[in-house]
Amino acid sequence: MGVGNTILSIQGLKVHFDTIDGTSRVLDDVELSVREAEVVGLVGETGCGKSVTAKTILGSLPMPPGKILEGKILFLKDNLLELSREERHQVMSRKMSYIPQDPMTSLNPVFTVGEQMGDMIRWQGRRRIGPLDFLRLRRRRDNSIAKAVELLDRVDIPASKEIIRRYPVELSGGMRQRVLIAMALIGYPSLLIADEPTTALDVTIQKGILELIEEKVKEEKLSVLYITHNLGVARRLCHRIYVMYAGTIAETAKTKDLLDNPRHPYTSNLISSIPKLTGDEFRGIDGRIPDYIDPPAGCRFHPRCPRVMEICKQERPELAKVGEDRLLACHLFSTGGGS
Amino acid sequence: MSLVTKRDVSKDLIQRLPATLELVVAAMAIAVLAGIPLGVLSALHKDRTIDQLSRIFAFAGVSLPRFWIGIMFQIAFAYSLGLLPITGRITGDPPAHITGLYLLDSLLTRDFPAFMDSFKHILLPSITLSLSPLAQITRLIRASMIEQLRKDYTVVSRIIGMPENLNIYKYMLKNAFTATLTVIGLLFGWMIGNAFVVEQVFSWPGMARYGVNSVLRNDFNAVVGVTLVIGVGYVLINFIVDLLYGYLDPRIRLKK
Amino acid sequence: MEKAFKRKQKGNLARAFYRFKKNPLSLIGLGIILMMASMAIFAPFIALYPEDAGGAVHFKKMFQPPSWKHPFGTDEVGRDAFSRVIFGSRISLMLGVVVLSVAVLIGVPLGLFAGYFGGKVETIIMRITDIFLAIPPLVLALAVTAVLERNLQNSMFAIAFTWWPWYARLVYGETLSKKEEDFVEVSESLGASRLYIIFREILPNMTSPLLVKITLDMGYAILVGAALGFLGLGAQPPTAEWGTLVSLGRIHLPKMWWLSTFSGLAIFITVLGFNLLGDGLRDFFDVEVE
Repeated sequence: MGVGNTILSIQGLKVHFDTIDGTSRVLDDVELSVREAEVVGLVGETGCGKSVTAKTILGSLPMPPGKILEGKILFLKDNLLELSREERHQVMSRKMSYIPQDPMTSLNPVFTVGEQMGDMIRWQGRRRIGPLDFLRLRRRRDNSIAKAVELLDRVDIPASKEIIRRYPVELSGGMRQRVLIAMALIGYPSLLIADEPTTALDVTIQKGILELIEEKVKEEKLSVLYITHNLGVARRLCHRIYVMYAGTIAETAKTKDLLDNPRHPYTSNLISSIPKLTGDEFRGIDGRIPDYIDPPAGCRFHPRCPRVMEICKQERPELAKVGEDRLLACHLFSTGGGS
Repeated sequence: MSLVTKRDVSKDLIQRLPATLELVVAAMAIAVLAGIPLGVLSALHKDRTIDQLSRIFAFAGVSLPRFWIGIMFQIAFAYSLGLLPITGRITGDPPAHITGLYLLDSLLTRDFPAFMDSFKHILLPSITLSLSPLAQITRLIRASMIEQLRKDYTVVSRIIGMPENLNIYKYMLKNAFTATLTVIGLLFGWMIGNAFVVEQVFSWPGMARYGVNSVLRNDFNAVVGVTLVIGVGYVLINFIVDLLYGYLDPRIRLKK
Repeated sequence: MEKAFKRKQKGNLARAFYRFKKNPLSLIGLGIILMMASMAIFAPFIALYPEDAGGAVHFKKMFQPPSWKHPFGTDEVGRDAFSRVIFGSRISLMLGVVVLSVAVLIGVPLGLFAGYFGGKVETIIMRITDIFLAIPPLVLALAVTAVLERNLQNSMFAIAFTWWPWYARLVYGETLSKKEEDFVEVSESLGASRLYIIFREILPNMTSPLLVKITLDMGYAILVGAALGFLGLGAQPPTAEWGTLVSLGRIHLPKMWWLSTFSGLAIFITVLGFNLLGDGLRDFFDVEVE
């Protein structure tokens, strides 16, 4: 697989969130990395912290109630957490991009596609635009629209010249998602963070979007951090998968290794919870995600773990390397070493 | 048709309509031109000094009795400081009659002394009339902008790299403004109602004052006339507002 | 797991009170209203010269500026302005209460019926409401006072006449959204009488927006009442009504500035009180009202 350079590396990330009821420890020692031209999946139940991770990387987590306690987010040689807002904005707005979850609410309804894309193309990356630029808004004698049309073609939108002049309300969900992907590709970013982009779409449309992403990864050496709760999608798209539980990384491996040979009990449960058409008994996972304000001692999964041991209740398992590109945080295997 | 002046009511009305129109339009202009920036600033600096001040101002604005604050203004600016005239629309000769709107006419005929004169005269009454709508517009824009800040599309744009001030002043504001538009229509109606009081205080020779005097003199025909004009005008304004709304918000236009 | 759940029930009520207390403005509003209310109730005891509220004349004491004996000065016939303002609170507050009561008593049931029964009832009621809503309130009130004799009662009637449609509309909207909810279906299937459903089930669920609106409207009704008084269409002299006082004082500007100033100030503070309280209630209930 793409043994390219590491583009993104998260190390030891701890994030707290202040709420009325107490301090919620949403992320506890998260480790994650993404390489060039690689699709990395971040998989887990709703509420496990995947979105929070994405928001922390993007810097869109509201910081007064949120607090980053420790950790590093290394992106293309910079530790994002140590940069000033200005520097961070510079780096991120051009090199990192984002595909949101709900295409129906992610485009401004009162402006045409062309207008929104045009403005983004013209001014992406600038913190502010000057008053002269405002006047230029009216003149439109640059080639932003042409570039926008080109972008729409790149995401396989038919009749792109027409779509430019349309308002979001006139487009279907799948179409809007393609527009959002086109917008995300402005400026040729190195990393794309996709936050469950197909959850809100029909299965048939999903397929198209997934194919589109795959295509872009190959053609443009794009890296993607794909967040989802759907293992099936992750299996299809991702080279490597991180399994996240309750704000921690439970396990990570190359997709095939993970699915053929899961080691963490949570991973096994996730896999067997995928309803199969063979008619086997459907086994969900007992229990619910823990309370982040007062999480269980030791391993956060221990109350639900079918193979829990004494040590699990007291000591938190460290994320240890148990194979090539493979990390695991579980007491079951760390004593025996990787095998 | 008038019972008192024995003249045709419609003639009386037409003579006085421009005065009221000028007053209401001026007041609305002040309310909108001052209210929008104030609302935006309050939203962006939520809960900080500017916001607190504008909130206090907003409360005061809606609670002040127009006639009273008008009188207070007269006392402060006209009587004590002698800066502005007390009543009436113009002291010297009015400009040549094109539309009946003194400000406009004097500009069109380049009659600058008349312009300054009318301007000084209209200042206090229009500010008095504009206070409550200003407060309401500020509050509404503030609330709409705060809502916009939370919208998905705002957050997404920002993440992908939209410059912040473009995001605020073009994208969010347009959305916020459309919400305010319907209220502006209602405010016109409110203003027409309160013009009655303001015209009385400042002896503004407008239709509203005529209406009040007619009521006081039991001149029913005149009252009916005034009410009709106001009713029609109000309906017209709301109609225009609806059109504008459709123009600005494509969702209305395109959803069949 | 249960720990978390119990903690979340830290009491929604407690949290709401906490929010209300956090808002000093609404407490100020409440304070103002209480002060005005006691002023109105205990007027004869607070006013220095109670007889001046009516028609007493003391020509020797005409036009005295504010002093210790007469905190707000005296008017053109020597009456103590302070006492007159205090008694004026009675009229204005009473006006507010009466107008709102009438408006609510007419508007709320109409809105409920329109919303619940639908069909012809709905159309008729809402059409009438729409017509009223199309005309700005002050204008309508003016038009009504034009045809009636000019006194306090008629002005109250005129204002109430223009006010009820707003309540009908608010209640109508709320009813429409509530009537589809489960608890209504349950009652209907249990065979409860329709009146019962309307008044005992649907209505209690809209107390929050109603309460907020009523509070705010008290202020606005008083404002309109004072405006009518100012124009000479409400209470007639020698009754001491705030609006009338301002208008009477106006003739003697600028020398006798105290006559208009304090009565108008009273209006302002009272309306401000209602606005502050209403706004605080709105936050408290977390409700969106016009």
